[in-house]
Amino acid sequence: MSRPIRTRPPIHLPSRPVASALLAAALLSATILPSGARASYQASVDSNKTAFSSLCIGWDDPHPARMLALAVSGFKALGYDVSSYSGTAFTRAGVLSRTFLDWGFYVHSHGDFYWNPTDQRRYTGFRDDGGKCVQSIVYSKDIAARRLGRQSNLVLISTCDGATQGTTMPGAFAIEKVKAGTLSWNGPEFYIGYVGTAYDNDEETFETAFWDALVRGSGAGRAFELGLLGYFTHPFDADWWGSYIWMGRAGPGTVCRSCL
Amino acid sequence: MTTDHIDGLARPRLRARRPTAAIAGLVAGCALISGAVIGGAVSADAGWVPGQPATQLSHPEPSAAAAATKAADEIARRLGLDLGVRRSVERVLDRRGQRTYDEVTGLDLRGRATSVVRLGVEGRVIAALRLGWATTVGAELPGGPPVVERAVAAAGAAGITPSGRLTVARGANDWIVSWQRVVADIPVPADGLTVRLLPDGTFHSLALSEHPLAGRPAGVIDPGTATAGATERLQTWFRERATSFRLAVPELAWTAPNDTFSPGRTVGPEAVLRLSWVVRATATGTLRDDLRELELDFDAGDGRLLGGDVVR
Repeated sequence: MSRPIRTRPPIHLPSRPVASALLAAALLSATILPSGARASYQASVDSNKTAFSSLCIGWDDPHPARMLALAVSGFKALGYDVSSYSGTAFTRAGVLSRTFLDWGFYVHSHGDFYWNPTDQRRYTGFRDDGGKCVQSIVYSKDIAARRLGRQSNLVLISTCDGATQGTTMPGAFAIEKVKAGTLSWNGPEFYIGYVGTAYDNDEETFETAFWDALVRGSGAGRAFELGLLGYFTHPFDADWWGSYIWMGRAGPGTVCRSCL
Repeated sequence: MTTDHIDGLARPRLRARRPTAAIAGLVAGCALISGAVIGGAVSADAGWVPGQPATQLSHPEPSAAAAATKAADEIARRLGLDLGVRRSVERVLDRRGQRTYDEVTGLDLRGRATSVVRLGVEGRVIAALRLGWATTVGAELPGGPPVVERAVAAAGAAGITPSGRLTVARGANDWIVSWQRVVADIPVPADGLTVRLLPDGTFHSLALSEHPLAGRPAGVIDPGTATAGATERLQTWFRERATSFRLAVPELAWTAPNDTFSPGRTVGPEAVLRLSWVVRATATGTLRDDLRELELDFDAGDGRLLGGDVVR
């Protein structure tokens, strides 16, 4: 006998808090962002190329550009208004200036539980690019402070430790660390990160399958599970929080009708 | 709309290069050499560029669909998967994985997917998955033998006899039991069987892979040659910082040549694995801010750098 990982009321699509959030988001989109139903669903894709280029490590690693291309095409196919950033365009300041309006977010870079000297504690974070080899850290607390609790939809943190136990990154995007399984709904949101360290080829294997399945309409949860069926060359694990049955598409609350 | 910003300038959307004729030829050559990756013959059509669909779906012939459905039903029943009330069958060309398989999805009365079984075109199961993200009310297994026993039973239910190098890990949501393929005492890291069990031991998924291997070289170079090759590469790439790497003793493994250190060579790992000396270089000190670990794969026959991997 099975039950959802966390007991929630039977499906209410959307729930009252979700409806409120969606209404607020719709108003926000209508008032601040350019017109157009899909154009209001901004997604940012950041990939740290410089740290893995001949400028910093002596050769040009092709993974950052490739994974950026995967994410851009994925978000675009899902209806987001997507922009990508690398080199001097991918800076800490740029990420933080955009984040409030991001419904979708992807980053491929260094990631860790970084020590924050001001707060004397660690936060999950990632490094920007900046076009240089010594790079700034974007802490989850920085993102949280700019987003002010605003809901996000699809977030994929393609770094080490994005989903390691104790990660502080989902909360920065107002994604509660709850798995809403097939009989529950936690809003149109889905966060993915890797557990511990992850090798680039394994991340690419997972992300290729994930984006492909999501774009084909599998729903976020099923796409995640299909991603984990790939063959990995090192121990590999990922985790998620959000709504299993959400479709991942831009727009308010699209539920996967073919998901359990 | 899509906008790319590189070095502070908005530029037209990135377009990855199409494979050159040489690469296309290489892919076709690999297809001829490999014969069959488990899951189906490699197709020359496997050349794939990120941003394009990674899979190509089609409907198999009715007789093939019927055979796949029958086999999948039997496997799903043995694994205790929810078969639903009807099935959909798709033939999937996995361009990056360079294999073809039939995917049978169980659907319930409302058309919701309940389970997935993937079969190689030769009929062998290569994956099975319980959909829906449910956990069970049973007590969590303590790990060790009880977990392995459950995983062995699941593999057996799918007609697979596990063999190889066993590891058991408690993942974020599952027990992860893996048997890494070993050929003549040499590991094949990309191959083997992985069974995921829910914490109480209920079957969650399995995935099987087995790539073709190139011929073993007539002579195998000394591991010291691989270490020297790695040292030289690191000195070229990192100069004075190269001393911040700690090199592990090289290990023989069958690995997929890839473009990690040779951009433009191909896209993703090649289908045919080659015997390599794998040299793991772990960064220490402040270098760990830049990257944590490198793996360099040297051809065990002639010492060429075949590829490798990176941990950010």
